[in-house]
Amino acid sequence: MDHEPPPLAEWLVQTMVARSAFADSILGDLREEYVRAADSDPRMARRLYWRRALSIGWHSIPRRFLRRRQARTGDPIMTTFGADLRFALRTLRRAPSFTIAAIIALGLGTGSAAAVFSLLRGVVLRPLPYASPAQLVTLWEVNHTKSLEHEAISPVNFGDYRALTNVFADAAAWWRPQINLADDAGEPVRVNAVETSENLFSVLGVRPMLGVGFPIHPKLWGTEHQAIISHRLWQTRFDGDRAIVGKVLHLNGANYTVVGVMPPGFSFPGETDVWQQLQWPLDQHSRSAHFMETVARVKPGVSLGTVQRELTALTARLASEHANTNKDWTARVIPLDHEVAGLFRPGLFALLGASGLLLLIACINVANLLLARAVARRREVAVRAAIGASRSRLLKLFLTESCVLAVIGGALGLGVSVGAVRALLAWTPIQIPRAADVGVDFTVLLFATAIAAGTAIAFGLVPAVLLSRAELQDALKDGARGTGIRGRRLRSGLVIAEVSLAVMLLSGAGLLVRSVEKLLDVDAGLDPTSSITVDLLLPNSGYPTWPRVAQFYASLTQSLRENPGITNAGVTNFLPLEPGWRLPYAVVGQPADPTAMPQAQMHIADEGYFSALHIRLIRGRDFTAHDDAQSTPVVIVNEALAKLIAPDGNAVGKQQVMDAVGIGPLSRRLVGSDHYEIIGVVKDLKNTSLRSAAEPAFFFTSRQFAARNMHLVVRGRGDAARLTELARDAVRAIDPALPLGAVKPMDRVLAESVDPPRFVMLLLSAFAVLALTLAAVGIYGILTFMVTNRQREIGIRLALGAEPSAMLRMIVGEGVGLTLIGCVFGIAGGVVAARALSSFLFNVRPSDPATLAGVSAVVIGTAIAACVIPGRRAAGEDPTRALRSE
Amino acid sequence: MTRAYLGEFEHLVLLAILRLGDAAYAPAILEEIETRTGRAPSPGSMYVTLDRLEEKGLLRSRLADPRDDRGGRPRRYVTVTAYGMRELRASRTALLQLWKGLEGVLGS
Repeated sequence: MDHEPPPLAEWLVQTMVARSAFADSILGDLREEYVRAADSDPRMARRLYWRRALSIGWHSIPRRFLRRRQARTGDPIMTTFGADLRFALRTLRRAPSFTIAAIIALGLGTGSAAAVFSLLRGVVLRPLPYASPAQLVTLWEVNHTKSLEHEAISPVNFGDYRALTNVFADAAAWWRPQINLADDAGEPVRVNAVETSENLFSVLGVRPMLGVGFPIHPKLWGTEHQAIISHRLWQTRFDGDRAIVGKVLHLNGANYTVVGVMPPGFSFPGETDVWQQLQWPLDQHSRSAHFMETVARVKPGVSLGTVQRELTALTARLASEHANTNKDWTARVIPLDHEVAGLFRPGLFALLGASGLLLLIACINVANLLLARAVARRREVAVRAAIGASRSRLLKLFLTESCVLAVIGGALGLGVSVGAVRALLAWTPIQIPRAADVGVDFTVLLFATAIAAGTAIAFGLVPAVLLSRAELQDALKDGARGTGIRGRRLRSGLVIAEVSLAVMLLSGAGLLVRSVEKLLDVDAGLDPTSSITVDLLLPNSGYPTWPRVAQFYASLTQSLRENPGITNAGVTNFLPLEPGWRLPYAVVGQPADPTAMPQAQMHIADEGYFSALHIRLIRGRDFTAHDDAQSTPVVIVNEALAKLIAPDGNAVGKQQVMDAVGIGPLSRRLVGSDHYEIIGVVKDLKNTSLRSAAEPAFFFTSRQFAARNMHLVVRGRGDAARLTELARDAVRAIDPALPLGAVKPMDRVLAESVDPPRFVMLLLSAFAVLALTLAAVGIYGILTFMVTNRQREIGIRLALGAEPSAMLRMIVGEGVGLTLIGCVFGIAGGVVAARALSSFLFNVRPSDPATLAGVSAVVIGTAIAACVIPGRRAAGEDPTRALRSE
Repeated sequence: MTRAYLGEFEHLVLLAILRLGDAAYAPAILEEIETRTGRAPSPGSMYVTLDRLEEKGLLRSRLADPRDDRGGRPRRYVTVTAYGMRELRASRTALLQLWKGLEGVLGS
């Protein structure tokens, strides 16, 4: 039986009571109790011992340090740090509203700055985990005449770009086929896959963790049917089986040999799980097919400007050599890290600026609070000095107080930043790139806290400094009254600064709110409510022939439409906002220049799609179930295309020619003729983004032009979960082995495109509200101080017959006056600062009068509310009391 | 010499010591206060208070023989001094004087 108390706790007690004459007996008491308790429950006893030890330790702090000081200097109690600390805590506790306001301002200011910087560092600033990431760039094709600024590139053009060996060390390209993965490990699943040129990993400078990776052929493709998988897929599906290399996977029914497993965390591009070896020659394709993405490694020492110049020269040459495909097309270079962060880069930088403003407001607020307190404590300071406290003694006292504030505020800031980052990442429905690696940045938190602490300390010393200036006698005599004009001007200036910074943040937030509102108000051409979309991909194995594919989708939508819970169901190969394939077309009877055929987006839909999304048919008729492979080839065009084909918009009855037989492995034409009769015109449906007008587009029916990968669209009663269930049942009934891809409510499909501006808007709004609150506290503070300060004047006025309401007006007027000045500065600053938000603004100018007026109204309203309490105090002043206080 | 005021907690401790007689040492005093008042004071404040009361001369302490179950350490027994008794009596008188006639106010 061994009943030894916890040694660490025992040591603690020993150290803390070492100076007591009865140290031994205290340790004895604890041990006696411990031994008794340990007989029945040793764990309980240990806990009890610790509790006692901590209690004794805590209570011994002043005595322990006090005794030491006394031994050394013989100073009185008040010179010890422990006592100062207790005194500071006590005084702060006695002014709870001051203390809470200061701590909250410090905590929110530092916490939000640290949270935003943590996001910025994780998402934008941290180097990508590839070899020399600064050399990696992406290339995008651009067509200004069609306002396409960021298009995927053609595989044939890619070959020419890669051949620019004076600027590029190497370049890789890939596209994203839809892949069903089947193997012996379990049910077939949809995986994120890319089919990539063999050199992708060598361009990035990353090697597989297992296996040797792809062979690299001169033309970057091969027929070996090889695949590389991600660490994540290896762990989740293959239980980290090291023998996976050499095994065979079935990707869309074809066999691929695994030749590598990538290291943990690698999933480039995006969230890729399977990399397929490129199966076809890049140069045997079309220059007008923009569907490949690329990453290139720039040679060391070559600047982005040089790369861009070389690309511009090359694309100009291509445009003249291949006018029918490359006319108006150029290419642009974007550093890979900018591309990965996307809109979050300008967004997070703007937010960092905003959080900086908030930190500034917080510091101003703390300064203001401390100044007010300094004035109120003038008499106390004078008394202390009068009874013999030296200047340095007083400085130390106030320093302790400021430090306590800064430490508590910093601790709150730590909590705020950790909580904010975690909450944001956990609850945001928004896809934030590289979110998995975001952690709170403690360096920044420390930095922000240092700034805040510096403010607190600098202004906390004011009472002690003021003392040296003001005459002691004066201070003792007139107590609370007067710090003179200077102090008041300083404080008014601070309030104006606070208000104008808050107005800046509010107007930024206001502009974004309006932009997002307008974006969401944009008529996308469809009704996204009460509908969902389900991604489906038919594997080659179960559906070897194209009529089988068409048959599957026809019967699936048919069975869904028969369900009473479903209003309508249809399929499409591109969701709204997704551009279709851009292909050349001709119209019979209209002169056409074979070198410059017009292009339009090609989509595939069916007879249920338009009505399921409430897309209005303007002319002609919709598809029917009879528009099949045996019937006349038909096509429906959108308004934009109809206007190109027939100036009056009546394109119905004309014959459109589209000679494509199929697009890649995904789709195939089932009708013999390449002449399609235009049977209808539908209202424009946004097919690039909410911001831009719909491009000309035409729709084939899936019964005549079938595709393996389609989005099922279902409208019906009940919520998304219910509709998903119905869709799953219907798919299972036809093909139990077919996995469902991504399921999304239709309104989410549209809302996703608004996510980045909405993300910035939400955070900026939160900052703006905080800023406004802090500004209101500032206004309240200065007016309360003013009322106290002018108590005598107010008393005399009231005694002489002034109306109380006039006093109220006087105080409120003072506050509103400061606010108005702040508004003017703030609006000017806001208009300038809004430039940082330009990429998020939509149909709103930075000087939008409605927004600025709204912001001013909110700020002035808040200011008036903040004025009312001190104003009513002034109005309710009892003249006799006010005069007697003299 | 100014009279030492008896703080509320000091008051409780002194009374508990009186009740315990010869057996008054810190853990026993804590227990006595807890069973009588339902309030459990923290042990840390107890030791500090005992020291303070001794410094004021209100109590005296004595170390007993070392004991094995205490790791060879002694108990510190405390007794109230004559001065302490006087202070308690004065406190009691003052309180009773102030309470006189107020019983009805409490409504009990």
